[in-house]
Amino acid sequence: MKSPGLQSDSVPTPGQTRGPWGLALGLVLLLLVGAGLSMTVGTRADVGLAAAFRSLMAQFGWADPLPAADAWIVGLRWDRTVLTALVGAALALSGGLLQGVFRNDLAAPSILGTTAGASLGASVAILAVGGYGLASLAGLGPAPVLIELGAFAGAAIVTLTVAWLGRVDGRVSVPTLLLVGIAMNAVLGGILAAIQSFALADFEVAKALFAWGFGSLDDKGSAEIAMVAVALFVALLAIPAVARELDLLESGEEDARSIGVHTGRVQAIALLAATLCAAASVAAVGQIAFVGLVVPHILRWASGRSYRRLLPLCLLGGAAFLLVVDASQRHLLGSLRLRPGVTMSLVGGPFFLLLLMADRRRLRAW
Amino acid sequence: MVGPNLLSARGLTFAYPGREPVLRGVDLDLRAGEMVAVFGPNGAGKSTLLRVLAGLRQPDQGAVHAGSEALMSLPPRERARRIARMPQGLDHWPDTRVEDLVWGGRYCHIERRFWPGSPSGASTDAQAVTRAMQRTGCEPWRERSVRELSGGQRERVLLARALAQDAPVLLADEPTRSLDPAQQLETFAILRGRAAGTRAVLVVTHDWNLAAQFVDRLIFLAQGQVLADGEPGQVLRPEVLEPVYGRALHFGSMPGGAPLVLPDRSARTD
Repeated sequence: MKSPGLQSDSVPTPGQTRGPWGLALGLVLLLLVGAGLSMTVGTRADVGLAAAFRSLMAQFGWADPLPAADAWIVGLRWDRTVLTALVGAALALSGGLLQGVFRNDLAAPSILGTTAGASLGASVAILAVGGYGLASLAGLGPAPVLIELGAFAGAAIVTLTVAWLGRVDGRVSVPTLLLVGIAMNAVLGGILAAIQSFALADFEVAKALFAWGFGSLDDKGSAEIAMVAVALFVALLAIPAVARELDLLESGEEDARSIGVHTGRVQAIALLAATLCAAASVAAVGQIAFVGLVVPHILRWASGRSYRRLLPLCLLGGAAFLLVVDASQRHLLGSLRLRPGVTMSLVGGPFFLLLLMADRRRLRAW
Repeated sequence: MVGPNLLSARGLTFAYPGREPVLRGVDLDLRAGEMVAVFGPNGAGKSTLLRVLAGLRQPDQGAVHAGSEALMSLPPRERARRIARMPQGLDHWPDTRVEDLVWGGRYCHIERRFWPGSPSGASTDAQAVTRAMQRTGCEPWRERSVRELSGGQRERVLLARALAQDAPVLLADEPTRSLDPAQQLETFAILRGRAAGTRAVLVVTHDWNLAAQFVDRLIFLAQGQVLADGEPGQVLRPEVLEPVYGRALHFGSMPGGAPLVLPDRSARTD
């Protein structure tokens, strides 16, 4: 047998290799637990799982509808639960895809500048419509749609620009791409800070900008759900076109091309799908960091490196992770509840640091 | 008996961006049934030539044809079905099982499916993978991660992948670099076995003495140009080698008759 010291993170060695189905089943269970927790969050403790179940049955006419007030509450929680699951799945898939394109376990939407681009787009839109306040709460008016379009456009423009600048000799060069991403993040950060300092003059606008930065899963409706769902569906179609190829790309671009992989096309498809997912998530709920980084990382430990397993598992894992973390935080802290972006930073940050500590030997080899 | 041209290069010149040309007008033919070795001093452009011949680099001038088709016009999968390349190591050794790495050689043959075929199946692909691993002696480590293997073992895994690719043309870049003498002979014997019928092998090597015992032709590449191209006995001669290497060589022959050229301390004139 091998010495444990020689073993890096996730070699699928015999005996340790598991089929993805057991893990998938576990994640489905976790997802259900998270959904259950999420459906029972709130001040009306009497509206519990039974009410949620009855409401579901009532949709099909198999049960009497709930009283209007209860139905309203259950509806809000459904929206929140579904959106949380979709956003978690989209962010994790985005991270998984980017890690494959970069051949780097630490890649994330934030490295490319996708997140910063989305934030900038959203901030410009918030500034333009003069705040995110009541119009959004009621789900009315053009303001939320504009803000989401702004975020989407910002993310897409920045990612495509970075990918374009990162091309060398007609091919995407990974080191160049990473450096361009870092520079782009710095530039965007400066512009964002400028906008925020301007906005301090107007309390309503400043508040909206800050709220965006922390992320929010509250008060969202079918528009946001549809946006993330569509993005996720499109990205899902990309998985079969890139998963095997991302595995082969692990041994280097030139080597992958020599055995017949169309590397440029694979990288372009994966990059677009990842951007779409990240942009839709940020546009719908604001910034939630670390999901795209931590979830693929944990799954790699559990299931091995193959993207054919990793990418589909990211969908389940991301949804379960964000649901469980966000809902338990709300149950535990009660009225003191944290914004999801804050929770993820508090939970994900230290966890990520631990991963790095455990992985230091490998990092040195970069 | 040599057959039709499988790979032909005419007037290849190539320079990495912003550098001096590495190849300066290389002509080369590889015919079915042939085994050819390219040798030359360090920096002669051997590995670059192999990259251009494999279609991984576009030559600045000249062209490579696989049969009647221009190599660069072929889509990657189609190209990989015609030309297999055994690289000189990998940029990055992935954490994959030996068997999975060898399966990479079948990528260009497998129709797009999300889940890979089961290696235990009786498909052509599985057979090719198993045969390649048996031939190269990789079978005992099929379940292990390539990262755990030694340099020599890794070289044999890359050879197995190139064999599994099952292309008419096999290009091998320094395939015996980390092998002991017995393994060097075994690797060359495997490559020699490949170079028959409708297939051909071109190998880049430093070891002209080893190559001379196996190949049909030796190509001497120096400063990006072909200085000699012929049977080993015609190429490994003082008139050909001394202009490049100086008079530091001893010329003899193996018991079997193959030429033998060794560095000779007493012949040095400096």
